[in-house]
Amino acid sequence: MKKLITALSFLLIILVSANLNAQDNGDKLLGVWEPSHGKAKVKIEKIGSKYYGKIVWLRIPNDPETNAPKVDKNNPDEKMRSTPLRGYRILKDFEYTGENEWTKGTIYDPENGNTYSCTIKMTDENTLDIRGYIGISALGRTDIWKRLKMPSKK
Amino acid sequence: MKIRKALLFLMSSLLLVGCGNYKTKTSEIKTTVMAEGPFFEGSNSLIGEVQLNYSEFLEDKEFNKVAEVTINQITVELEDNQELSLEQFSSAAIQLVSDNSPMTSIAIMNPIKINDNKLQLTVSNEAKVTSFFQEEKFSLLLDLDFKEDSYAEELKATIKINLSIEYK
Repeated sequence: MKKLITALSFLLIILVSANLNAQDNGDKLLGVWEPSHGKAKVKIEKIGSKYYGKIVWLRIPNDPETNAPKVDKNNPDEKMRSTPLRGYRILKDFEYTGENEWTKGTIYDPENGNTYSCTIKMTDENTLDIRGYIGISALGRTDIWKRLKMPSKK
Repeated sequence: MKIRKALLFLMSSLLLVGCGNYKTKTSEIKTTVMAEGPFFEGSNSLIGEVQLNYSEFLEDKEFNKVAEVTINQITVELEDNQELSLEQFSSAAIQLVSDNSPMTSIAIMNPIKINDNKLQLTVSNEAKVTSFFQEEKFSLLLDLDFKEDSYAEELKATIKINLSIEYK
């Protein structure tokens, strides 16, 4: 009986520490990131147990045709096309699956209104490989995002 | 021939019995969403949880399961005694969030048009919301676009969703 209790306690400790470890690792994704095209900055935050990224800065914030702040004019849902692009969540529903990878999420391209399956791989603490794909991951494209660093105080 | 007729009768009966079990009710859920300040110019998110006891909510003790949910109307109003007012926002958007369903945008208002101290948002035609209402709980996320920074300690708003629930 004592052996069983010891074994169960040991198992519980392993499970709890593994869970805590996974949470810690997953949260290193939080922060502001810049895609390679440099047109936007995306803030990744956690809501519940999943990770989401919203546009917080646009190099050209206004639509040249209307001179008004850009909206999601390519949204397939006509009624949602007035949603402002600044503040729009283009990364949705990512779950941390360990080994510096976040999966099961989607990425939205406001330039064509398409949503793609997506995985995120952190190659170092300041670099992400963002892979968008349709169907299988092999049929996709990877973009490299860099973490936005705060200017150091003098 | 008799067997074919009997099978046809059986299938029609099953179909009728299956369809006949569904009921539809139009009702309203009311949820408080909140966020702590300070708030910065741009999008700030307020969040609140929705947890429904369907037997009570639908006033039907025979409730079994939710089959389909359609959102008819969504209004947002700030709770009393808030440091901020609706004039201080340029747009409002609402999403549904849960651990088991993908985040879904359900309504937007841009620019803000205040009517009787409320916002009545435009509801998406295409958002699929039923899976959220089949879970034990989900969250409502209200994104308010602040025109300028605010050092308010917190902000609370009430979201009212009028919906039609098909259930059995």
